[in-house]
Amino acid sequence: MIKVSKLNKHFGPLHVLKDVDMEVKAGEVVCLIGASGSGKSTLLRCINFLETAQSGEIYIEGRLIDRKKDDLNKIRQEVGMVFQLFNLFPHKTVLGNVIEAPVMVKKTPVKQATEEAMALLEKVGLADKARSYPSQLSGGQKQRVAIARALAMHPKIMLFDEPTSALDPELVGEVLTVMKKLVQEGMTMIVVTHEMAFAREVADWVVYMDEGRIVEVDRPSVIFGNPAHERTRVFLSRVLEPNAGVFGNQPPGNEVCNLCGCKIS
Amino acid sequence: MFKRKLPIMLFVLVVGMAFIVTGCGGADTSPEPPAKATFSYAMSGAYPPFSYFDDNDNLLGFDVEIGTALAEKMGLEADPVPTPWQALPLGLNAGRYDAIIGSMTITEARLEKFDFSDPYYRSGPKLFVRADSNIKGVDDLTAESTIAVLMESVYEELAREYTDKLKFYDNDVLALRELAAGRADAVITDQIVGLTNAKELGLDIVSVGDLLMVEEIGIAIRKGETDLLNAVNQALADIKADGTYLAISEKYVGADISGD
Amino acid sequence: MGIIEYAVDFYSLLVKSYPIFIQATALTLRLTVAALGIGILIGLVFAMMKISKNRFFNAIADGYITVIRGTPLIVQIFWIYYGLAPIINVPAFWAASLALAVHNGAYIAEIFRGGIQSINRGQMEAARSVGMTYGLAMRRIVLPQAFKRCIPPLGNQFIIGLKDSSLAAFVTMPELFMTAMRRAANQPGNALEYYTIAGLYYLALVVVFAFLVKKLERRLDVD
Ligand SMILES: Nc1ncnc2c1ncn2[C@@H]1O[C@H](COP(=O)(O)OP(=O)(O)O)[C@@H](O)[C@H]1O
Ligand SMILES: [Mg+2]
Repeated sequence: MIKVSKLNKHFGPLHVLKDVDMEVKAGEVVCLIGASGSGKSTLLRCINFLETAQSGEIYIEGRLIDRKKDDLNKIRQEVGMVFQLFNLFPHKTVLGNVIEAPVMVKKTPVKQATEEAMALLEKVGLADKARSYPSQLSGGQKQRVAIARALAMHPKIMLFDEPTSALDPELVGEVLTVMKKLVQEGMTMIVVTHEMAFAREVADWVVYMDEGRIVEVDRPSVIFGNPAHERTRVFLSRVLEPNAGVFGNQPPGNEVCNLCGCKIS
Repeated sequence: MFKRKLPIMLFVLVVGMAFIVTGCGGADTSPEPPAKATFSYAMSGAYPPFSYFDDNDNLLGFDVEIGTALAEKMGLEADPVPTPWQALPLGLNAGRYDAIIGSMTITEARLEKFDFSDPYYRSGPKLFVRADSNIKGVDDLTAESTIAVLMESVYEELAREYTDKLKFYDNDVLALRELAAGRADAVITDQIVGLTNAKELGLDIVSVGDLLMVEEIGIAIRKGETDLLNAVNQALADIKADGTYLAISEKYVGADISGD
Repeated sequence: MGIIEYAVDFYSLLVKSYPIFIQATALTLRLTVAALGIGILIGLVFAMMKISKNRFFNAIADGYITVIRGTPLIVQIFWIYYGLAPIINVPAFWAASLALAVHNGAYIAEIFRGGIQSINRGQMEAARSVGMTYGLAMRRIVLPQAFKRCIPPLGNQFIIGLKDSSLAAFVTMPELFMTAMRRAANQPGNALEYYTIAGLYYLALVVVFAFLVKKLERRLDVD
């Protein structure tokens, strides 16, 4: 479905992706884990061509994508993306957000697009919010709308960039439930996440990234049970350490969140 | 809820705008395409009694009516174009009008840029002072005397002969007011203008001495347009001959100012 | 003269001059609306050029904004009315409107640029990620949001533009300021009063307009 080969990405002097190789087969779910700043988002954004890698190849359904010759807009239609901060269009209703691209890009008749959108909203449990504006929704609801918006283009693969990181803990479940539904329907997905339980449950493969490199790829049972690399083990023990807590095991006054690396102020 | 209304509001705004701009526009902003060929001529519109607007915004004055009379003699439609004094030469060069009938004195400097008709009136600058002033003529002026003059006018050069302390004004009224208020010691301006304005404003000022020079006021025409120049000179002679000129002159200034 | 008599005189001047000043007000409004309308289009085009990644467009937009902001409006008006006349004889109204539009356009371009850049980058990315082209994403997603944020500074620019339209007097437009100049020349004794009257008309226009902008702003802030 998607193959990434020897991908390198620099931001000025910063070498963010280093010879990244990855393959995702149709129907597979790949969870991408790793510390903050390890390049997970950048990898997703390169796959969706929101960023341009300096070298390396990206194949979609076996075809090498040429940035210059291929219509990237067409490709992006087939690759759905869900962002950490939702990025809903605030000036449009929930329904407006979902039908925008089908109507404006695919020229689907409004009536048909609306019917499809309502079915998608039904699926994410928000049919009753169709006429609301994003500002009237909770974070979990916003993220579910964002998922419906991406699905409306009938993508062949869905990319999730920390879809639950910005949510209050009690709202994480509703988004994960929707994502699990997609997994059951056989959607091909790459999910950057810190929800290790989710990864363990649904991932076909777990990819651990560190400092721009893919350190280890394996089945979740292996990664979470007996990872081959020391670095993977250290990362997971920090994240999963039940007593450590989010800011545990660190000198006081200078704590860094164990999940995403954010500082407490 | 506004969100669906915003495009409508914008639409209304744009349509309204188009309506405002085109719908009721035109008439007083740009000259209508004339039925007859026109003779367009410019004056400041701020120089009574030569050119001014009355309370109903009608353009009147000696210059304006002379232009009308000349156009009639030439068989053309008169089209007076009031233009700020400083921009008069610009507009003539740019072809915004055919001539300047704007009480413009014929000078060497101006002759380099334009052709001038025969003088259509003669006047001259005089020295104006406050009634209680001890300046009784140009001989009483010293290097310390401040003279107020119209900016970009021939009076500027004249005033420099007596002092370097000049104050410049956009119109004679301001200059005369400065004189009356004691912020200038004297004003050099056209005697007709000075006298009519002083009377109008009720300023306690007087003219002293003789005409400082005899100015010949002509109609400026772009260089090389000899046909028009000749036609204007002919028409000028005609209106002087048939009494039209005298009537206009007496109507606005109360005397024959042709100086012939 | 006592203050009462003066007030009475001023009032009668105000009433007497009402018909021509109303006419002049209409012209001032037409000039302003035309100038700002065209100015918004110009501003939009140059704002897009300024934020584009194309160096050539950047340079053009920068040059335009620098020249227009760096030279007096009256000079620009003269360029278009007198300078262009030998090439195309733009009627005075359109010359003045165009000059005012070109002038305001430079400021509006900066207003739009600021507005567009204030919209979170995520909006453009989300729009691109569902397959929208840059232009479509700009038109459907970014600009509508940016425009809303631009309303207060645009309102301000409109007020500036309204008052700047007085410079159209120098290309023969009998708008408010020119009307006052004519009255003042004709009745030098009341010159200051006539300029004050013109000022009052501008003030009234600005107050009404500021009120409308406030209303619009409040309306757009509903959510
Ligand atoms: N647009 C950008 N410009 C410069 N540096 C960037 C940009 N985006 C990301 N980076 C840097 O690239 C590195 C990887 O970032 P990212 O892919 O967001 O990591 P992750 O998603 O794993 O936290 C970080 O050091 C980050 O600061
Ligand atoms: Mg990230």
